[in-house]
Amino acid sequence: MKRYVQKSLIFALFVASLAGATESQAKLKLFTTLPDLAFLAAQVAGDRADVEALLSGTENPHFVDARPDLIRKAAGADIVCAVGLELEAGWLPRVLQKSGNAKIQTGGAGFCELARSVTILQRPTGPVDRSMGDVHPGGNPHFWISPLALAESGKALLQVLEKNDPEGKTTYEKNLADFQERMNRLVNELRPGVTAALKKAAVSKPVIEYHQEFVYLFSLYGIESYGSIEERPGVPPSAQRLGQVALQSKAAKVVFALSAPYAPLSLIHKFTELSGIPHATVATSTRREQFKDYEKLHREVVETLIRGLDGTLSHR
Amino acid sequence: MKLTSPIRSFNRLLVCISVLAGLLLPPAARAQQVVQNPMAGTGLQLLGAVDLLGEAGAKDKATNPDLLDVREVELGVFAPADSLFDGVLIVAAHNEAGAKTAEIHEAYIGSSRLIPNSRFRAGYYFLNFGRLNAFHRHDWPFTSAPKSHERFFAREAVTDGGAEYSWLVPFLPFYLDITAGVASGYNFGHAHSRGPAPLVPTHYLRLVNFAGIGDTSGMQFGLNYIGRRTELEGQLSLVGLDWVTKIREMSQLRWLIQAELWHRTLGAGRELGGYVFTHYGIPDSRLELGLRVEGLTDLALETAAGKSISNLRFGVVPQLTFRSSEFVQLRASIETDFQNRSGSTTLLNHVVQGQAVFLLGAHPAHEF
Repeated sequence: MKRYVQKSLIFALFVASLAGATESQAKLKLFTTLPDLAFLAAQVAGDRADVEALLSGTENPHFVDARPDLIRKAAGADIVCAVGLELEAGWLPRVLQKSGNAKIQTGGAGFCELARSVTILQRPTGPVDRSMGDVHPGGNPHFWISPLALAESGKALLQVLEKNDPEGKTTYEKNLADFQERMNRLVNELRPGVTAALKKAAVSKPVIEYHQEFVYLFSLYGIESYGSIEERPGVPPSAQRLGQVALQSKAAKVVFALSAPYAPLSLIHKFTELSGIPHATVATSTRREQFKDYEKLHREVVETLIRGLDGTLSHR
Repeated sequence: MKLTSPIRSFNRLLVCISVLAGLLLPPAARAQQVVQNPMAGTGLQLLGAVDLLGEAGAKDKATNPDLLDVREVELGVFAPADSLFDGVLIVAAHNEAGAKTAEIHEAYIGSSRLIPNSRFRAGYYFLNFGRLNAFHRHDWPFTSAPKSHERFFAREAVTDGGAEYSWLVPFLPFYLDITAGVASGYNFGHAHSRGPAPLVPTHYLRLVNFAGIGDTSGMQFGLNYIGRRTELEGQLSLVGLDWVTKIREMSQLRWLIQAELWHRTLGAGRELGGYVFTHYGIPDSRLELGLRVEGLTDLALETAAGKSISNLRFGVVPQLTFRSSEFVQLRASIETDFQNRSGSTTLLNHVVQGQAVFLLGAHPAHEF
């Protein structure tokens, strides 16, 4: 009997060591909230991690439910990376908590907020409260639309990757440096076209946004925004506001209006009707299944910007 | 669970709330106070919820005000207690027969960091079964409890002291979350005094499954069992199904369909009840239309001769909600109840309700 127990224990230890060995060689499972962050993570982690986005890229990342399918994915994750700055405050904490996965809880070794390493724009300097709408006290979270800001956020990603897989440190650092170089090349290639279109527009503030989610894009290409159609972030404009902002934008010779696909089209159409200013919708995020198309999407966004600035944008 | 006398009065609770509300200062002001603020670094989140209700036409005026009055105030505090556990404390004041009674709604410690794929909690809380019972009333998609919920559980929820364990089954190709819990069972429902010791304490089991619809929507199904045995009432067995479908379009919840069906056996009694609620968010507006249809029948009702009596209590509740934001909503609804017995239908109640709910402090969770 004693011998049988000893043999069983040895066998169990052997199986456990095999399992451990398999685990140590297994790739990290990394989930990001947005597909754009998944693009960054896939480039930096290379073949040391399986990367997937929780969101599809079509939804407004603030208005998401803590759906059980997201909870199930988070339960199997080694790392979860979010934008931060309270963008995902409504749903991500609940997804993490319900996943029962200790690694990815806030403060855990597998949780990261990429905005921590980004130079944040529109950080409020005065008091903030909800009478001002959905103002993010830490600043504007929509940084991923700028390739350079996305690359900048890679530093926070690097920290969490190195913590979870110290052996991959050199690979991660090299991959991030390559990624930063690649994003620089992309922006440098596109910048002259935007600059030329800006000159042609000959207006100091040529564009108005529905919601201030293009701030990092405008900052990247030196475009000054006239502001937003929303009076307060996240609060649909009243009829009075729409009328006022339409007339003011027209008087200021704003060239075009820009919005994300999830902005309320009927209100934007009303704005274009009142102001005569053409409008374009651009995707602010890649699709989950095509997150590797980030550069392609960015080229399309910049192309729309150029058409908006040089006046070749048709009324849409 | 009723609080001890020093803070029983509603006025005193409001004073407590005012003091704690100082912690809800704007972030910039908070930042200036960080040096002096002993709460800094604790992860403490505060949530205040106020539920105001006005009714006209209610027959049950003992608990329902004609004029707008506070139905409920909640003050919640949430924070990690240490590296392993989280703590939750929610204190509430209810309007009961015109008096505002303060009580503890939830006070528990729990963790999702100890056992893989698991969550557990121990303390006093809303027992996690069915759809409505797990939510606080100000988070419900309608104003008042469906008749079946009120009859089988409480006007708000069954709260009790106990322990609950949830396991998200990891090796299945679909979502399955299993919750099992045991609570003291001295009472079942909303009570302010401790009842006699049960023969078998309240115990419950809940299985939840989910199916996604596209990228942003989905359906959740729940299967529930609750049991308890007391000397006075005998065996209580509740078996229930709950179903929630949410269709999101852009930033708006376009459709919500929520339903529950429960069968209760209590001693020799057998009852069946449930409701179906449909919500439609009007595109590009902050208005939502809703309709709840509900029914409740006593399956054991019979004549002295032992002949079964057909009976059905049913109701229709249309409603209109203005959702100013995630933090404020105003709702008007008309609740009409009928009783059908042996083919004859009578009007029981016709109530017009106006409700205002607002939340202060921490961002509420977007539960599915």
